[in-house]
Amino acid sequence: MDEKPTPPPTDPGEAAAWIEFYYRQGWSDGLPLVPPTETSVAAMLEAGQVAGDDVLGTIAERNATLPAEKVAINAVMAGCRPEYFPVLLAAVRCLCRPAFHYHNPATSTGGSALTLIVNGPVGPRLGINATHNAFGPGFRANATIGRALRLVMLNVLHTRPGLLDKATLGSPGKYAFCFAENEAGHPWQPLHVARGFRPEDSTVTLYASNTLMGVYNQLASEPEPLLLEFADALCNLATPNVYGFNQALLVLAGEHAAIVQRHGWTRRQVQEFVVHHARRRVADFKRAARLPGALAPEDERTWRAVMNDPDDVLIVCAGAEGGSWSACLPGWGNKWTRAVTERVR
Amino acid sequence: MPRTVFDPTTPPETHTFTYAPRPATLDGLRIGLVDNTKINSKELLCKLAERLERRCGTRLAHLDRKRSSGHAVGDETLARFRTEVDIALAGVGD
Repeated sequence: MDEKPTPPPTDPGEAAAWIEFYYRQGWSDGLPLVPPTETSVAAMLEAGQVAGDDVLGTIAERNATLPAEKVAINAVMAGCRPEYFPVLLAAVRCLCRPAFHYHNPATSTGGSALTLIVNGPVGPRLGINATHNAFGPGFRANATIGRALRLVMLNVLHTRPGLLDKATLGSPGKYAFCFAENEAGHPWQPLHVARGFRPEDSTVTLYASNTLMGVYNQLASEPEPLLLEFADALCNLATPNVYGFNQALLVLAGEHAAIVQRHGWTRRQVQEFVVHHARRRVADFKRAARLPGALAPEDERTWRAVMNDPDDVLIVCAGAEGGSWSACLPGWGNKWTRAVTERVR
Repeated sequence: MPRTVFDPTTPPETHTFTYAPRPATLDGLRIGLVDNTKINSKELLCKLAERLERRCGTRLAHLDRKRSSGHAVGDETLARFRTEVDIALAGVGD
């Protein structure tokens, strides 16, 4: 027989009053904030092995610095456990990397969802979900680490809607978007190893995704037809970056990863195949007013690629073993905003 | 319950700046354009410059193209604009 859980000895009304108080200060992302205490903030800093007055980084375009104490307060408010804090610190260091160029994806009308991909032993150790519903709800580590990063953006970097966040529609992924790579049964090395880290390292990769498209295929039994879908998703007429040659993130879930693995395709083969096929005729783009100018006869025979470098295709494995679903996340912007990876210390 | 309020925000770092004095007339002034790389930015700015040239006798002195719309204008361009340009036009948005 199940035992009934024992509630804490405090009045929930007091906590609710604090939550309402923090709402009134305008510090929330729309969801309730966990009221911090001296103890919880100190525990966060201790877990991250940082002092409250440490500066974690700066973002020149925002004229902003990130003090450790403020990041810790936001982590508590998001609901993080202290042991999650080193992952959040790595994510914050990613934000500050010039190669990521925070100001662009954070401010853009495109409404980029900043995506955190966790690799290495820290994922399983913290219970960061990599399998069923990897992008969805139900897992505290995924939800609160991703949320904490957004709270830091809102409260420390002033990335508030209408102020320094000019997103036209935004994305549900802007509440929180954090998942771990499913490294078991991976066709190749996991993402962080492909990016130069050791398998035993734990890392966070920050990627500015523009949108998330499901890639469904129940009939493909070979890599080519499956990967044509990914390529098509990247060059569809609605894709923002006809001009940009930006990065792309492919998330291969169980059955689709198995197809690629079974046929012995390497990561490089997949990358080159997708880059080669992510193209459309100029006429297609012109008919949809995605390219300027009048339609010319040669436009029907002229191909325009939307990617030009296989290294720009990031590939990770995540999701459940079953099902014929993968995902394609075209990147925000252009060559000026790059995915960055930091080791979890 | 503890009574300490934990503020998760940092105050924005602010700088004081002043606008350059507005010219009394555009007649004969040197124009600098800042193309922010967005679609039709350069085309629109160049058309504006052409109109000003016809109407006011201005002269296009410099056309700068930023690295991206989110990058600041480079120091070299700023230095050049300070000495060789009288008015600057920048844009465009989405």
